Amino acid sequence: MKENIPQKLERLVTDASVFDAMNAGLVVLNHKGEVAVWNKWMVEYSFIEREAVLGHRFADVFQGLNKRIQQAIQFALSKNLSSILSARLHSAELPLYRSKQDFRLNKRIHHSISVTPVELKDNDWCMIQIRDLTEGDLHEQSLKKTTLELESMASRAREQESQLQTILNNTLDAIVILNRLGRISGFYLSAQQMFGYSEYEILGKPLSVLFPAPFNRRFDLLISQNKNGKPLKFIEQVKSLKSGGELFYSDVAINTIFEDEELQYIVTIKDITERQLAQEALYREKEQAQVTLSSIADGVITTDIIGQINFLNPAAMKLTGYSHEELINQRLDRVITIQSERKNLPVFECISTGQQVDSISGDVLIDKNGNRLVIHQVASPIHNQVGDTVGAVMIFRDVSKSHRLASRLSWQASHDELTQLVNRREFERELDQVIDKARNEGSEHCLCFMDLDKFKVVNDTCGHVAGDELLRQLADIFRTQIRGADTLARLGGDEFAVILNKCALGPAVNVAEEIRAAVEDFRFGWGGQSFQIGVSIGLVMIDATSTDLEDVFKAADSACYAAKEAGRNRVHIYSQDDKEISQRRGEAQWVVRIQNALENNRFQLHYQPIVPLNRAENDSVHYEILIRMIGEQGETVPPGAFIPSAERYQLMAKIDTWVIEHLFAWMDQHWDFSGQDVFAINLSGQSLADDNLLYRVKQLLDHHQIPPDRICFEITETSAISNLSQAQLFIDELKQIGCRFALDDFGSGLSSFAYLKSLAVDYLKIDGAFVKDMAVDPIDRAMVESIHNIGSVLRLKTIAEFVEDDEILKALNEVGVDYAQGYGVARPKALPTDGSALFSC
Amino acid sequence: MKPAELTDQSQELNQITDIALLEAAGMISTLCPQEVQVSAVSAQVTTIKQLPSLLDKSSLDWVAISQRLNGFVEGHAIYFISDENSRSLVRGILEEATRLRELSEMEEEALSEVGNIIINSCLSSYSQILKGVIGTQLPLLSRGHTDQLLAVFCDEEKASELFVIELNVCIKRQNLECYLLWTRLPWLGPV
Repeated sequence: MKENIPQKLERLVTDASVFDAMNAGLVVLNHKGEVAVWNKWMVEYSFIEREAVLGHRFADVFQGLNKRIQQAIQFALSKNLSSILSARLHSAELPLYRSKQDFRLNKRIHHSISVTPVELKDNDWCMIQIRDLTEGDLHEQSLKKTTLELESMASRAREQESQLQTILNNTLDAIVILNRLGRISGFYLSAQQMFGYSEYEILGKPLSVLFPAPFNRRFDLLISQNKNGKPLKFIEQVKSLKSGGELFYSDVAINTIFEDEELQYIVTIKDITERQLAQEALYREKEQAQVTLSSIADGVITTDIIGQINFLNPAAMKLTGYSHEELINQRLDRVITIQSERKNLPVFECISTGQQVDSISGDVLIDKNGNRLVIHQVASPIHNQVGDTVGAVMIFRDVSKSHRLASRLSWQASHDELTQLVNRREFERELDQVIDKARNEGSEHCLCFMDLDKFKVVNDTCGHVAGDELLRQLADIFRTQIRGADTLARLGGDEFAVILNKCALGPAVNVAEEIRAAVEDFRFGWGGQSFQIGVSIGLVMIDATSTDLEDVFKAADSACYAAKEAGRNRVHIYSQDDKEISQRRGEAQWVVRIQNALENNRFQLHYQPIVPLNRAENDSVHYEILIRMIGEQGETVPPGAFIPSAERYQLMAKIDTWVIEHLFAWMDQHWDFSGQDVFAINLSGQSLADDNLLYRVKQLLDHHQIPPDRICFEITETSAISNLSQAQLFIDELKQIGCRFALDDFGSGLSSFAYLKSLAVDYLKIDGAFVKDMAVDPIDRAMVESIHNIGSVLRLKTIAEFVEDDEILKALNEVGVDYAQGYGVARPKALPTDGSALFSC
Repeated sequence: MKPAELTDQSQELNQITDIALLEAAGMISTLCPQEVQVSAVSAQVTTIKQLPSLLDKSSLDWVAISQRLNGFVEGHAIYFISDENSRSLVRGILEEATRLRELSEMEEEALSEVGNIIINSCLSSYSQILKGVIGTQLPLLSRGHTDQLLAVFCDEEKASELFVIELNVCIKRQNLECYLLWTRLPWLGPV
């Protein structure tokens, strides 16, 4: 309300027409607050007739007036204060309407109110003026709304501009804006940091300052040629130039834009140094991997999830025999054949389980040419970043050589290299299985132990090379006599064995006999000589009653020994009731007794005279020294009871040593050495091989001052042959000092005469087997004569054993044998310890 | 001449001013959604020349809602507020989001009412002390620099001193500095 209504309205109050002409509402209240003037405008806008309001309190006309209007009226009436009620703060305060429709819709006008005091009739009246500001308000609201929108748009634009600035200043890539002339008009923070130029330094300069030759000229040319401002798109990898002169690899992209119809270029530069380095590193790594894969000897094949080959290295091609083109993109199992105990190839099992799979030993790869390669293969899964299996890699190598080597080593570990037969260890293992089978299945099998009879003759005569060749040839003979299911082995030395699988006793004996006969008929030729060998075979059945490997072995060994003892070149079947076996078993018990007797001196020396048959020549009397064991109970134990055990368990040297020690001691104490009598001491083959004994003998001879020529050592033909070299040495050493030697049991060997030349003996003791029946058996007599004649030719004296009666003596005399020994001459007696003379008959 | 502080005799005036401002704030608060607080920060007498030194120096443009006084006291009561604060005050009361630099006509009218409420509330209270009626005319809104505005009112009345009450209007956590100027000091003794 800009104008002030004159305060003195007294005159005008009565003339309402003045107020009715106003284009604004006018209400005049008296001092009581009652309506005195209600102009036409008010009538029209309030829809309240004048007559209805005059004299009524304004507060009653418009009920619910707010405090501000009430205060304004009150301020005007009582305090003479003018108030203004703005349209904004009192929007549509009074129920005033522009039209009936607005009235019905209660669409009030926006209006402002001014309340001013007027002095009228000496009272303080007030005047209320009301202005319709609806249109103005709406117009203003509309303007404000538009303004707000514009402000918002401007704000958004500013924000976008700010965001753009932020973006441009915070990109990793450098962004450079060029004007249409190619001069730098925008050089944002990333560019500043990348190139080392400040915005101040670079603005206005051409783009080419950021790139070395020849790139800089390219850019200049590019932009200069684009004078028409055509859209330009340039993307390339170039070298960029920093302010300090450092070059770096970059991706550069140039685009054109139009800003306010003005051509501009946006240049984006990405420093790809790291990427370049990473690419180079990746390339190097890939190259290294490629080189490694290409150079390793192992084959490498990778497949996808369905087993389709997507990579293979040169080694894989070489091993499989296929080219790259033949294998790539093919399913592994359709192009490569691998024989394995596995149901599926390791690659497919690996893909299925997602786990590494190793091959089973012995997988065989069939290459393109059909060659079989034993391979070792490992398949490992290939996972993606989330851990899913996406394929597999198969690494394989040819292990044929090592497989063959392993097989050979395994074969060598179980076979005898000389004869190619199964060795003892493998034989025992198989025998163990056969015994288990017999016990579990009730099946019947046979075990044969085969001990060659004359192997040592060949070995000692012709050397080890001949012995090895003999063993090979005999192994071949054995092979021809057995079946494929049987197991033939060389146990060691000249011992062989065979398991006759599922074979009853009868057929087993037949096989054993055939083996024996084959060996008997065999002649081994070496160095111009021919040798007949022979084999002793012990046979034991394996059935459900068999206990264990050790017992079966012992039984076979016992049977073989029995065969030997029975005369060799024969087959002996093991029996539980076998006396010989029993005796064999009992031999082990003698070991303890013999050792005990040795420790406690429970041996006794006996003697048996060997008398010359032609006394006229004054041949000296020999006394063969015999040994007896005194048992724990004082009983006399004959040598036959313990000598075999002593021989078997390598105790003969100890016994022989005891004999020599005690005889020499007796001689030292009781013999006067007045005659020419000789004491004959038996030496076993074990003693001949004992170097200590040779030394001991010399030592004792010297210690007891015994003339060496009073001592004659008796060596059996068999032991001499078995230990020929040792026998020769022993004999030569003692003969040098004067001892004598007799070859005992001469004639029992099959090639006896061949050895006589090499043994410097003095006497031949004819085997008693020929002597004891010579009086009645002309053949035996002939043998005795033959032996004596040979001895005579070799200037050896002959001694006949087992002379049991006068007829034999007579026969011996007739033959001319030099000495006789036996019960018919004199029985053995104990060496006297009382100084009495020896009996000589 | 330095602005003179009110004497003890005028302490009563301060109290009444505080009450009046409290009532004015209450009235303004009924007209807008948020609470408005109006309080007197200081009251002093100053010369026209010294007035600029008391005012907010960051503002050059001011708005004056003036009401001519009549009756027991004559002169002007002026609600003095900087241009910037006037926009903040009005738009804070009206919850206008616009950031236009000028107030619209409607906004100026609303601002005038605010000044009118504050002035009338004070005058209503003062008239009780003075035991005489102080009448006013409708508020008049003027804009301009300080000296320009004051020159209009003070030259007219040949006033050389002004009673200045510094006000703080708090609306929407915004504290707006404004002033009440009185060009006649009938209740104060000689300076």
